[in-house]
Amino acid sequence: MTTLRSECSLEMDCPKEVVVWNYYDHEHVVGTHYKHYNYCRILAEKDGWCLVERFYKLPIIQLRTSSLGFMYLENPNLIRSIQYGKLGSVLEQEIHLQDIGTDRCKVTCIYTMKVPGIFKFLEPLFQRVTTRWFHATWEEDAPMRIRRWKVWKLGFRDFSGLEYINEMTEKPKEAGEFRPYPLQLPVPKTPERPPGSGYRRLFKKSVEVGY
Amino acid sequence: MAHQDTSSPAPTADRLIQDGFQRIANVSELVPHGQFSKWVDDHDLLVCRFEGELKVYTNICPHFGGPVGYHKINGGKFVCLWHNYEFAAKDGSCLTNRHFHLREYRSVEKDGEIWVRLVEPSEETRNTQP
Repeated sequence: MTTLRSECSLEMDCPKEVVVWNYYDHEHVVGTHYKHYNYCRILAEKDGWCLVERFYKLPIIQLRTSSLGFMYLENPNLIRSIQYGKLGSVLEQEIHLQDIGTDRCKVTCIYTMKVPGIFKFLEPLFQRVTTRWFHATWEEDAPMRIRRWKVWKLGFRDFSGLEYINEMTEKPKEAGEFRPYPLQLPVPKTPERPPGSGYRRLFKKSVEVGY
Repeated sequence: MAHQDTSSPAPTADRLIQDGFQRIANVSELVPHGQFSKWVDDHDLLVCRFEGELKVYTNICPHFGGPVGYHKINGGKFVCLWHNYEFAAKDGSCLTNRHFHLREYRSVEKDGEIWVRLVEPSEETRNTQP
Protein backbone atom coordinates (compact mmCIF):
# COMPACT_ATOMS: atom_id res chain seq x y z
CA MET A 1 0.00 0.00 0.00
CA THR A 2 1.01 3.59 -0.51
CA THR A 3 -0.43 6.94 0.55
CA LEU A 4 -1.59 9.74 -1.71
CA ARG A 5 -1.12 13.07 0.04
CA SER A 6 -2.17 16.66 -0.56
CA GLU A 7 -1.90 19.77 1.61
CA CYS A 8 -3.70 23.12 1.27
CA SER A 9 -3.46 26.14 3.53
CA LEU A 10 -5.04 29.59 3.66
CA GLU A 11 -5.70 32.34 6.16
CA MET A 12 -9.13 33.62 7.14
CA ASP A 13 -10.31 36.87 8.75
CA CYS A 14 -12.09 35.34 11.72
CA PRO A 15 -11.19 33.34 14.84
CA LYS A 16 -10.78 29.58 14.46
CA GLU A 17 -13.99 28.96 16.45
CA VAL A 18 -16.00 30.45 13.57
CA VAL A 19 -14.28 28.02 11.18
CA VAL A 20 -15.18 25.10 13.48
CA TRP A 21 -18.80 26.35 13.55
CA ASN A 22 -18.75 26.36 9.76
CA TYR A 23 -17.44 22.77 9.55
CA TYR A 24 -20.07 21.53 12.01
CA ASP A 25 -22.94 23.42 10.37
CA HIS A 26 -23.72 20.46 8.08
CA GLU A 27 -26.93 21.99 6.73
CA HIS A 28 -25.09 24.73 4.91
CA VAL A 29 -23.62 22.34 2.34
CA VAL A 30 -26.93 22.31 0.42
CA GLY A 31 -27.26 26.09 0.82
CA THR A 32 -23.89 27.83 0.59
CA HIS A 33 -22.43 24.97 -1.51
CA TYR A 34 -25.53 24.25 -3.56
CA LYS A 35 -23.46 24.00 -6.74
CA HIS A 36 -21.49 21.05 -5.36
CA TYR A 37 -23.83 19.27 -2.93
CA ASN A 38 -27.39 18.17 -3.55
CA TYR A 39 -28.20 16.24 -0.38
CA CYS A 40 -26.93 15.54 3.12
CA ARG A 41 -28.18 13.57 6.08
CA ILE A 42 -26.94 13.59 9.64
CA LEU A 43 -26.98 10.03 10.95
CA ALA A 44 -25.59 10.74 14.39
CA GLU A 45 -24.10 13.69 16.18
CA LYS A 46 -23.00 14.55 19.68
CA ASP A 47 -20.65 17.14 21.15
CA GLY A 48 -17.57 17.25 18.90
CA TRP A 49 -18.30 14.24 16.68
CA CYS A 50 -20.74 13.48 13.90
CA LEU A 51 -21.55 10.94 11.23
CA VAL A 52 -22.89 12.57 8.06
CA GLU A 53 -23.79 11.27 4.61
CA ARG A 54 -23.23 13.71 1.74
CA PHE A 55 -23.97 13.59 -1.99
CA TYR A 56 -21.88 15.79 -4.27
CA LYS A 57 -20.06 16.20 -7.55
CA LEU A 58 -16.26 16.11 -7.60
CA PRO A 59 -14.42 18.75 -9.64
CA ILE A 60 -12.20 17.94 -12.64
CA ILE A 61 -13.33 14.31 -12.93
CA GLN A 62 -16.99 15.46 -12.69
CA LEU A 63 -17.92 12.36 -10.71
CA ARG A 64 -21.26 12.46 -8.93
CA THR A 65 -20.80 10.41 -5.78
CA SER A 66 -21.45 10.23 -2.05
CA SER A 67 -19.58 9.49 1.12
CA LEU A 68 -20.24 8.67 4.73
CA GLY A 69 -18.09 10.91 6.87
CA PHE A 70 -17.08 10.65 10.50
CA MET A 71 -15.70 13.91 11.87
CA TYR A 72 -14.43 14.69 15.35
CA LEU A 73 -12.77 17.55 17.13
CA GLU A 74 -9.61 16.05 18.54
CA ASN A 75 -8.67 19.31 20.25
CA PRO A 76 -9.51 23.01 19.71
CA ASN A 77 -6.84 23.17 17.00
CA LEU A 78 -7.53 19.96 15.11
CA ILE A 79 -10.54 18.42 13.37
CA ARG A 80 -10.18 14.94 11.93
CA SER A 81 -12.47 13.59 9.25
CA ILE A 82 -12.69 10.13 7.69
CA GLN A 83 -14.77 9.89 4.52
CA TYR A 84 -15.87 6.45 3.34
CA GLY A 85 -16.55 6.65 -0.38
CA LYS A 86 -19.00 4.49 -2.33
CA LEU A 87 -16.25 2.72 -4.23
CA GLY A 88 -14.48 1.61 -1.07
CA SER A 89 -12.06 4.52 -0.91
CA VAL A 90 -11.23 6.08 2.44
CA LEU A 91 -10.23 9.74 2.46
CA GLU A 92 -8.70 10.99 5.67
CA GLN A 93 -8.53 14.68 6.39
CA GLU A 94 -6.76 16.67 9.08
CA ILE A 95 -7.90 20.25 9.51
CA HIS A 96 -5.38 22.22 11.54
CA LEU A 97 -6.57 25.53 12.97
CA GLN A 98 -4.25 28.18 14.28
CA ASP A 99 -5.25 31.59 15.63
CA ILE A 100 -3.30 34.57 14.36
CA GLY A 101 -4.29 37.26 16.83
CA THR A 102 -7.97 37.66 17.74
CA ASP A 103 -9.48 38.26 14.28
CA ARG A 104 -7.54 35.94 12.02
CA CYS A 105 -6.62 32.28 11.74
CA LYS A 106 -4.80 29.85 9.51
CA VAL A 107 -6.49 26.72 8.20
CA THR A 108 -4.39 23.83 6.88
CA CYS A 109 -6.06 20.78 5.34
CA ILE A 110 -4.08 17.60 4.83
CA TYR A 111 -5.79 14.99 2.66
CA THR A 112 -4.51 11.42 2.56
CA MET A 113 -5.77 8.25 0.90
CA LYS A 114 -4.25 4.78 1.18
CA VAL A 115 -4.18 2.92 -2.15
CA PRO A 116 -2.38 -0.13 -3.58
CA GLY A 117 1.22 0.73 -4.51
CA ILE A 118 0.58 0.58 -8.25
CA PHE A 119 -1.73 3.62 -7.95
CA LYS A 120 0.96 5.96 -6.66
CA PHE A 121 1.02 7.52 -10.14
CA LEU A 122 -2.45 8.95 -9.35
CA GLU A 123 -1.03 11.32 -6.73
CA PRO A 124 -0.83 14.37 -9.06
CA LEU A 125 -4.51 13.89 -10.02
CA PHE A 126 -5.40 13.39 -6.34
CA GLN A 127 -3.63 16.65 -5.52
CA ARG A 128 -5.37 18.51 -8.34
CA VAL A 129 -8.84 17.31 -7.31
CA THR A 130 -8.40 17.96 -3.58
CA THR A 131 -6.78 21.34 -4.19
CA ARG A 132 -9.56 22.39 -6.58
CA TRP A 133 -12.14 21.21 -4.05
CA PHE A 134 -10.44 23.04 -1.19
CA HIS A 135 -10.33 26.32 -3.11
CA ALA A 136 -13.84 26.04 -4.58
CA THR A 137 -15.43 25.44 -1.18
CA TRP A 138 -13.15 27.99 0.47
CA GLU A 139 -14.36 30.70 -1.91
CA GLU A 140 -17.92 29.96 -0.83
CA ASP A 141 -17.14 29.50 2.87
CA ALA A 142 -14.92 32.56 3.26
CA PRO A 143 -17.68 35.21 2.91
CA MET A 144 -19.90 33.08 5.15
CA ARG A 145 -17.32 32.94 7.93
CA ILE A 146 -16.42 36.61 7.61
CA ARG A 147 -20.08 37.66 7.66
CA ARG A 148 -20.81 35.35 10.59
CA TRP A 149 -17.96 36.96 12.51
CA LYS A 150 -19.17 40.46 11.57
CA VAL A 151 -22.77 39.96 12.68
CA TRP A 152 -21.56 38.15 15.79
CA LYS A 153 -19.48 41.18 16.80
CA LEU A 154 -22.50 43.41 16.15
CA GLY A 155 -24.38 41.38 18.79
CA PHE A 156 -26.13 38.70 16.72
CA ARG A 157 -28.09 36.05 18.63
CA ASP A 158 -28.93 32.81 16.82
CA PHE A 159 -32.64 32.38 16.06
CA SER A 160 -33.25 36.01 16.95
CA GLY A 161 -30.98 38.35 15.00
CA LEU A 162 -29.69 41.77 15.97
CA GLU A 163 -31.72 43.42 18.69
CA TYR A 164 -31.08 47.00 17.55
CA ILE A 165 -32.41 46.11 14.11
CA ASN A 166 -35.40 44.16 15.34
CA GLU A 167 -36.31 46.79 17.91
CA MET A 168 -35.55 49.67 15.50
CA THR A 169 -33.44 51.38 18.16
CA GLU A 170 -30.01 53.00 18.21
CA LYS A 171 -27.07 50.64 17.83
CA PRO A 172 -25.36 49.88 21.17
CA LYS A 173 -21.95 51.50 21.63
CA GLU A 174 -20.17 48.13 21.95
CA ALA A 175 -21.57 46.81 18.65
CA GLY A 176 -18.75 45.83 16.32
CA GLU A 177 -16.15 45.37 19.04
CA PHE A 178 -14.50 42.03 19.80
CA ARG A 179 -16.92 39.54 21.32
CA PRO A 180 -15.67 36.08 22.31
CA TYR A 181 -17.09 33.34 20.12
CA PRO A 182 -18.04 30.33 22.25
CA LEU A 183 -17.61 26.92 20.67
CA GLN A 184 -20.91 25.11 21.19
CA LEU A 185 -21.26 21.75 19.49
CA PRO A 186 -23.27 20.36 17.95
CA VAL A 187 -24.52 23.36 15.98
CA PRO A 188 -28.34 23.59 16.26
CA LYS A 189 -30.18 22.23 13.23
CA THR A 190 -33.40 23.03 11.42
CA PRO A 191 -35.85 20.16 12.06
CA GLU A 192 -35.95 17.80 9.08
CA ARG A 193 -39.34 17.42 7.41
CA PRO A 194 -40.17 14.57 7.74
CA PRO A 195 -37.71 13.57 10.52
CA GLY A 196 -34.72 11.62 9.19
CA SER A 197 -35.23 12.78 5.61
CA GLY A 198 -32.10 14.92 5.54
CA TYR A 199 -31.53 18.23 3.78
CA ARG A 200 -31.88 18.78 0.03
CA ARG A 201 -30.83 21.75 -2.03
CA LEU A 202 -33.76 23.79 -3.30
CA PHE A 203 -32.33 24.45 -6.76
CA LYS A 204 -29.36 23.69 -9.01
CA LYS A 205 -29.12 27.08 -10.65
CA SER A 206 -29.71 30.60 -9.46
CA VAL A 207 -29.30 34.19 -10.55
CA GLU A 208 -26.89 35.33 -7.86
CA VAL A 209 -27.21 38.93 -6.76
CA GLY A 210 -24.43 38.39 -4.22
CA TYR A 211 -23.63 39.30 -0.61
CA MET B 1 -44.72 47.39 10.76
CA ALA B 2 -42.54 49.75 8.76
CA HIS B 3 -43.34 50.35 5.11
CA GLN B 4 -42.94 52.69 2.19
CA ASP B 5 -44.12 56.14 3.19
CA THR B 6 -46.65 57.20 0.54
CA SER B 7 -48.26 60.05 2.46
CA SER B 8 -48.71 63.21 0.41
CA PRO B 9 -47.54 65.81 -0.32
CA ALA B 10 -44.04 64.50 -1.15
CA PRO B 11 -41.68 65.49 1.65
CA THR B 12 -38.67 67.67 0.93
CA ALA B 13 -35.14 66.35 1.43
CA ASP B 14 -34.75 68.63 4.44
CA ARG B 15 -37.93 67.26 5.94
CA LEU B 16 -36.77 63.69 5.38
CA ILE B 17 -33.46 64.39 7.09
CA GLN B 18 -35.28 66.05 9.96
CA ASP B 19 -37.47 62.96 10.24
CA GLY B 20 -34.42 60.71 10.53
CA PHE B 21 -34.29 59.40 6.95
CA GLN B 22 -31.05 59.07 5.02
CA ARG B 23 -30.36 58.69 1.33
CA ILE B 24 -29.02 55.19 0.76
CA ALA B 25 -29.09 54.60 -2.99
CA ASN B 26 -30.35 55.60 -6.40
CA VAL B 27 -33.38 53.82 -7.81
CA SER B 28 -31.22 52.89 -10.82
CA GLU B 29 -29.39 50.39 -8.59
CA LEU B 30 -32.52 48.25 -8.78
CA VAL B 31 -32.24 47.92 -12.53
CA PRO B 32 -30.01 44.84 -13.00
CA HIS B 33 -31.90 42.43 -10.72
CA GLY B 34 -34.85 44.29 -9.23
CA GLN B 35 -33.08 44.06 -5.88
CA PHE B 36 -29.78 44.79 -4.18
CA SER B 37 -28.31 44.77 -0.73
CA LYS B 38 -25.88 47.10 0.98
CA TRP B 39 -24.51 47.84 4.42
CA VAL B 40 -25.39 51.24 5.84
CA ASP B 41 -24.25 52.10 9.39
CA ASP B 42 -24.14 48.42 10.43
CA HIS B 43 -27.55 47.73 8.94
CA ASP B 44 -27.50 45.29 6.02
CA LEU B 45 -30.38 46.47 3.84
CA LEU B 46 -32.20 44.37 1.27
CA VAL B 47 -33.91 46.71 -1.19
CA CYS B 48 -36.33 45.41 -3.79
CA ARG B 49 -39.31 46.35 -5.85
CA PHE B 50 -42.09 43.85 -5.41
CA GLU B 51 -45.35 44.20 -7.34
CA GLY B 52 -44.39 47.81 -8.07
CA GLU B 53 -43.81 48.71 -4.45
CA LEU B 54 -40.43 49.62 -2.97
CA LYS B 55 -39.54 47.37 -0.04
CA VAL B 56 -36.59 47.62 2.31
CA TYR B 57 -35.95 44.70 4.67
CA THR B 58 -33.07 43.65 6.81
CA ASN B 59 -30.84 41.36 4.76
CA ILE B 60 -29.75 39.47 7.89
CA CYS B 61 -31.44 36.11 8.31
CA PRO B 62 -32.57 35.73 11.95
CA HIS B 63 -31.49 32.08 11.88
CA PHE B 64 -27.68 32.39 11.72
CA GLY B 65 -27.16 35.75 10.03
CA GLY B 66 -26.99 34.72 6.37
CA PRO B 67 -27.70 36.99 3.38
CA VAL B 68 -31.42 36.74 2.61
CA GLY B 69 -31.12 38.54 -0.73
CA TYR B 70 -28.14 36.61 -2.16
CA HIS B 71 -30.30 34.88 -4.77
CA LYS B 72 -32.59 36.81 -7.07
CA ILE B 73 -36.17 36.75 -5.82
CA ASN B 74 -38.11 33.85 -7.32
CA GLY B 75 -41.82 33.17 -7.06
CA GLY B 76 -42.25 36.04 -4.60
CA LYS B 77 -39.75 34.48 -2.22
CA PHE B 78 -36.26 35.22 -1.01
CA VAL B 79 -34.14 32.18 -0.14
CA CYS B 80 -31.28 32.74 2.28
CA LEU B 81 -28.04 31.43 0.81
CA TRP B 82 -26.74 29.62 3.87
CA HIS B 83 -29.60 27.34 4.95
CA ASN B 84 -32.40 27.92 2.43
CA TYR B 85 -34.74 29.74 4.81
CA GLU B 86 -37.53 31.23 2.69
CA PHE B 87 -39.09 34.67 3.19
CA ALA B 88 -42.09 36.26 1.49
CA ALA B 89 -41.14 39.39 -0.46
CA LYS B 90 -44.55 40.96 0.20
CA ASP B 91 -44.17 41.25 3.97
CA GLY B 92 -40.90 39.63 5.13
CA SER B 93 -42.62 36.72 6.85
CA CYS B 94 -40.62 33.51 7.06
CA LEU B 95 -42.11 30.51 5.28
CA THR B 96 -39.67 28.05 6.86
CA ASN B 97 -40.08 29.03 10.50
CA ARG B 98 -43.17 31.01 11.42
CA HIS B 99 -41.38 32.53 14.42
CA PHE B 100 -39.01 34.44 12.14
CA HIS B 101 -39.74 37.70 10.41
CA LEU B 102 -37.59 40.21 8.56
CA ARG B 103 -37.74 43.72 9.89
CA GLU B 104 -39.09 46.11 7.29
CA TYR B 105 -37.63 49.61 7.22
CA ARG B 106 -39.65 52.74 6.57
CA SER B 107 -38.61 53.99 3.14
CA VAL B 108 -39.33 56.82 0.71
CA GLU B 109 -38.63 57.04 -3.01
CA LYS B 110 -38.01 60.62 -4.05
CA ASP B 111 -36.51 62.11 -7.22
CA GLY B 112 -34.85 58.85 -8.21
CA GLU B 113 -33.36 58.30 -4.77
CA ILE B 114 -34.14 55.83 -2.03
CA TRP B 115 -34.39 57.12 1.52
CA VAL B 116 -34.56 54.88 4.56
CA ARG B 117 -35.06 55.43 8.27
CA LEU B 118 -32.78 53.03 10.14
CA VAL B 119 -33.87 53.95 13.65
CA GLU B 120 -37.46 54.66 14.55
CA PRO B 121 -37.95 57.58 16.93
CA SER B 122 -38.83 56.62 20.46
CA GLU B 123 -42.15 57.67 22.00
CA GLU B 124 -40.29 60.39 23.88
CA THR B 125 -38.61 61.78 20.76
CA ARG B 126 -41.86 61.71 18.81
CA ASN B 127 -43.59 63.82 21.45
CA THR B 128 -40.92 66.53 21.32
CA GLN B 129 -40.81 66.83 17.50
CA PRO B 130 -42.42 69.89 15.89
